[in-house]
Amino acid sequence: MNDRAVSTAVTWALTMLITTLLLTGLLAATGGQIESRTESVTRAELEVIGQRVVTDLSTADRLAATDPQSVSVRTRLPPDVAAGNYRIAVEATDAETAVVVRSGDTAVRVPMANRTAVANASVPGGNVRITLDGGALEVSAA
Amino acid sequence: MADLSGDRGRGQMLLVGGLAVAVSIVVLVLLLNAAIYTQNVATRGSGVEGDDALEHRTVMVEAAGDLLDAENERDYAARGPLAANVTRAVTNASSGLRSQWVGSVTAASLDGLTLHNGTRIVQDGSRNLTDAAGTATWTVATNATGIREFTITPDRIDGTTVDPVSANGSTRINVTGSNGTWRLHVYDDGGPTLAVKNASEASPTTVCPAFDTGARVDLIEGTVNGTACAGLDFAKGLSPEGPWDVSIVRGNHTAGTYALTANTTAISPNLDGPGSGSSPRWEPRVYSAALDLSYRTPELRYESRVRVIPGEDDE
Repeated sequence: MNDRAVSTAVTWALTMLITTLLLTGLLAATGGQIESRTESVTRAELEVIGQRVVTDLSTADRLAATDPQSVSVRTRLPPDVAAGNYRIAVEATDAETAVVVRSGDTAVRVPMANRTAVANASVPGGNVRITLDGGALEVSAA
Repeated sequence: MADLSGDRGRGQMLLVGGLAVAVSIVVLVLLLNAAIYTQNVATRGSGVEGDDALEHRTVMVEAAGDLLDAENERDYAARGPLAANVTRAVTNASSGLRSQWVGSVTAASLDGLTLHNGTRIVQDGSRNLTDAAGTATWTVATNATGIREFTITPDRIDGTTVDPVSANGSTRINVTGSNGTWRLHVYDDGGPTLAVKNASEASPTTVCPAFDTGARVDLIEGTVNGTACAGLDFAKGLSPEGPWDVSIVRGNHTAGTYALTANTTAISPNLDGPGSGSSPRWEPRVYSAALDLSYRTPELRYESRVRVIPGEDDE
């Protein structure tokens, strides 16, 4: 009788242990997978956002080269990416102009060629407006 | 009792674990969806039609240039009808172009059109290069902010020396700007000769050795009978924007035909009017046009002012 009672308790303990181990392993695996997927999806999204901003900046640059009275381009962008909020920065130096899109620790840099000067800027993610102001292209939140 | 509680504990754990796995799968599906959407967006155009805006501008500039040329060729008797017809023609061209975007959210329009009156002065029957009253030294046009299509075809040259002051001096065409005078001398010192004095120079230099009586001298292109003439560089040394005055000195020493189109309405009073059979006479011209163009879509606003000058290289 006593032995049967012990056997039941041991079986229960073992079952609980194995179930816990299996579930923990499964959750750890999916958690890691989600983390790495989030990172790669965020990177892909930032890259596309950066390229869209550069494309529209280039369009504005091409239009600005014709000595117009005004140029204004609106770029439609998602309000956030997989990892949350993001920021768009325009970094123009004498050597290179680039658009840097950053969300958390993930940052993507898209270089561009321009003829019209581009002003440095840093705006929160979402729709942006590119305008020609005083001979330089400016990026601002729309 | 023990059996029952064990089953319940295991069941709860499986339930919680299953729920966690289900949530993870949903999150993964959402991420996958975001990735697919991102790839989709990456392969799409940005929707900003920059090329169309430039095309609209280019087509309007070309159309306006051709229309100006065509209307100018029609030899109007007065400036009013010429300007009215040019305005109507350019506006029609704009409306025609706009209809291309009917049904879309694009608004491409001609917001303003400013015409600059010019004058063509022509002597198409050979006579002395004097004004209609026979004055030998006279001012053809003043305050011209541009000159084009300036040609002279001398068929009788009497002057024998470059100096226009002497009794048998050359005929001289002066283009005077704010910073000097550019001169073209026509004379025959044993052979028909052209000499040019640029604004910065003190004395004229012989140019175009192949020049002969009856040859068509194009001052703007710098050619004689279509052949390039080194040294014949119109208005060299003068401020390029003008304003310039054009005058002829000793026009009675040379006979022939000529024509020029100047961006001014201030011309010699001693010219015959438009439509007259005699010459020299003046004819109305639209020298240039300024077009205010705009191209708007929800994503793009592009406004530009373009100057259309038919016959001149810079637009």
